[in-house]
Amino acid sequence: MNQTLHILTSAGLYITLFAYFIAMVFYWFQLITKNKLNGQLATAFTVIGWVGNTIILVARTILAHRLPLANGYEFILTFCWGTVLIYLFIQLHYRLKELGAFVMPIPFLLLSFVVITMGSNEMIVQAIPPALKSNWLTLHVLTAIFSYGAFAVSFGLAVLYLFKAHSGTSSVIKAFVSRVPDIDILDELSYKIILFAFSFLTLVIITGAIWAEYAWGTYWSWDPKETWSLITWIIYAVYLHARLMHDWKGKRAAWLAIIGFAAVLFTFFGVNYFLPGLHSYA
Amino acid sequence: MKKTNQTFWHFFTSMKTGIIILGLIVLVAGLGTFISLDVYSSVCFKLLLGILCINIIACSISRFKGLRKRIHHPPIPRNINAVPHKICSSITGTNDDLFCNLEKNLRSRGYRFTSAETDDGWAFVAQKYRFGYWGAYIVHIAFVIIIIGAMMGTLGFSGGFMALKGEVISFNQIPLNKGSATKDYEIKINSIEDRYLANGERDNWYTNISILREGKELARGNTSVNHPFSYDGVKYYQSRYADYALIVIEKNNIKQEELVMLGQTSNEKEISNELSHRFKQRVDKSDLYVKGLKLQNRPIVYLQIFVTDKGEPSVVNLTPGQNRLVFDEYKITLLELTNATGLEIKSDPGVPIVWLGSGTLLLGLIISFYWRPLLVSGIFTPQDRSGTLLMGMYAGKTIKQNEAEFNGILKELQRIN
Repeated sequence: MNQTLHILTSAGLYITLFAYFIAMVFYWFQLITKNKLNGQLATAFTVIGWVGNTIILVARTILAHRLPLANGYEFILTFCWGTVLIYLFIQLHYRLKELGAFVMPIPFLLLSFVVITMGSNEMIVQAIPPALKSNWLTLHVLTAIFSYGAFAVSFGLAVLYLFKAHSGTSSVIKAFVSRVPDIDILDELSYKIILFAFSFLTLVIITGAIWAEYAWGTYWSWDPKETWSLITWIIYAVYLHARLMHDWKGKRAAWLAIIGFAAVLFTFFGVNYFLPGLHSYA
Repeated sequence: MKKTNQTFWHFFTSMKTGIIILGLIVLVAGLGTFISLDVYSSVCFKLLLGILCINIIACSISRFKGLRKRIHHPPIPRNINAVPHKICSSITGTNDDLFCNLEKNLRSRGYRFTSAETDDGWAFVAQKYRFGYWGAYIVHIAFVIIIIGAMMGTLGFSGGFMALKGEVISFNQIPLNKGSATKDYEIKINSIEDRYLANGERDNWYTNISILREGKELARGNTSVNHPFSYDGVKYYQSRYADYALIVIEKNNIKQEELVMLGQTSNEKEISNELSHRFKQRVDKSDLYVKGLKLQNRPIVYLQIFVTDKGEPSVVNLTPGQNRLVFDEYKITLLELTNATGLEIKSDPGVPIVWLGSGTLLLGLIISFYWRPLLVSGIFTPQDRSGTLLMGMYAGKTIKQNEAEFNGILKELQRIN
C-alpha cells in the first residue's frame, strides 16, 4: 500500500508538472491565436494538473498521517494547489481564460524548482518535530496557502491589466488582449482578490503568532519570516489604503500588486534560502 | 504657541506622515533581516513605532467626529452638484408618487431613508450598511491595542532552568534573562518523559511539575512542547530535554559518582560516528573523560572512556546495574538512567491585550471589506404637475458592484412609476 502511494506521489509530481506546463503553453497559444480549442485544452490540462496535484497531497496525507504542510516541499505543493484552485474559480466565474497565460507559469515554475533543486531527502515523508504538532500551525499554513494563492492570481490580473492598458501603444499587444475584459473590470477583480488575500494574510500572521506563543512563549520575535510577512502585509495595506483614501487605481495599483507579490515570493523563497531563522523547516 | 500646537497636530494627523513612517518601518525592518545587528531593539526603531502609534491615535481622534456625522447624519444634497455623479440617473414622475415609491423601494432594500424639503422640491439620502464606515476605524484602534499589549510585555519576565527528575527548585532561584520576579513557592519536577509513538516517531517531551508552598501542593500539571503549563500568571514551556547516566567510577577502592549527559541514537551501527560528534565530559578531579550515548527506547548506554596518556579510548556498553573494567584499573558501573528537563518560564501581561487587538483587527477588516456602506441620494425638481428626480449612488471602490445595485433600484422605480 505504502509502496503504491510512494510511486503515486513521485509519478504524480511529474504528471502535474507536465500538465501545468502544457496548460501554460495552450493559454499562450490561445492569447496569440484566439482559437477557442486552445483555451479549452488549456483549461482541461489545468484541471488534469490540479487533480494530479490533489492526488499527491492526498497520498502524502495518508503516508504521513497528517496534512502535508510541514516542510518546504509540502508547502510548495499545497501553494500550487491553492493557486490553481483559486485561478480555476476565477476563470469559471468570470470567464477569464486569458488570465491563465499569466497565472499558470507560477505553479509550473514552482514545481520545476521542486524537481530541479530538491533532493529525495526533502521529498521523503519524514516525522515532524513536536514543535510542528499543533492545530494552530495547520491553520497558519492553510490560511497561507489561500492567501498566497490569491495573491498569485492578483499578480496575474495586474500583469494582464498592464498589458491591456498598454494595448493602445502597440498593435501586437492590442491583438493579444482584444478579448480580455475591460481594464476597469480587471482592476476591480484584482482589488477584490487582494481584499480576500489580505484578510487571509492577516489570519496567517495572527495564527502564526498564537502558535509561536504556545510553542516558544513569544508571539513575535522578529524572525526574518515574520518580519517579511509583516512587510508584505504593510505593502498590501498601503495598496488598500491608497485605493480607499486616494482612489489609487489602474496602473499604480497594478504595479503595487506586482511589488506585493514579489514580497510574497521573497517571504517564502528569499527568507528560506538567504536568511536563517525559526522557519528553517518551511 | 497655538500655531506650534496646530503644526504638531497637523503633522501627526496627516496620512502622509503615517505612510512615510510605515515606509521607514518597512525599510528598517527589511534591512534588519540582512544585518546581524538587532535593529528591532534599537531606540530608533522603537521611536518609529512610537510615532506610528501617535499618528494612528491622532488620526482616529481627528476623524471621529466626521465619521459619526457621516454615519448618523449623512448630508442631504441641497443642489444637483451635491448628487453623486459617477453612478447617476434621472427619473420623471409626479411629486408624491415618486417620493412614496422611492422611500418604499429603498426601505424594502434595507436602506435608512432621510428626506428634507428644498426651496422648490425635496431631497433625500439613503444609506445601507452604514456601520461599515466603522471598519477602517476599528482597524486603526486595533493597532493601538496591539501596540499597548506589546508595550505591556516589557513589564513581564522570562528565564529558564534545567532540572533532574525529583528536583525541587525555589522559584526565586531561577535565573531570569528579562525582568524581575519573586514568588514564595517551589517547583518540583515529578517526572520527565521522552515519549515515542508506536511507529517509532517521537511524540513529545513531557514534564510533570508540581507547585509547592511549604511542602503543600498548590497545583500540578504537565508541560510539553506546544502545551505549556500555567500557574499564577507564569507559563512553563518545555524547551530542552537530556538523558543522563549516573555512573560510579572505582579505582584503587576509591569510588566516585558522576552524572554523564547522553546523546541519543536509534541506529546501533552509527554509534562510533555519533560518539565522535559529542563533547568529552571531564570526570570531576580526575584524569578521566567520558562521552555517552543512549539507544533510543532501550536502556542501553554506550560510554567512551578517555584517560590521559592511555592512548585510544575504550568503549563499553552497559545496562543499569552492570559494570565493566576499562584500562584494567577503572571499574565503571551504570547505577541508573535518569533524565533532565529544560523549562523556560515566561510571564507577559500584554499577551491577552495583543490577542484582543488581533481579534479587533480581524473584525475591523471584515467590516471594512465585506460590510461596504451604500449611499444613494438625490434631489427632486418640480416642473408643472410632475418633476425630475436626479439621483446618484456613491461609487465606492467597487464601481461595477454598486452600479448593479443602483440599476436595480432604478429599474424597480421605473417599473412602479
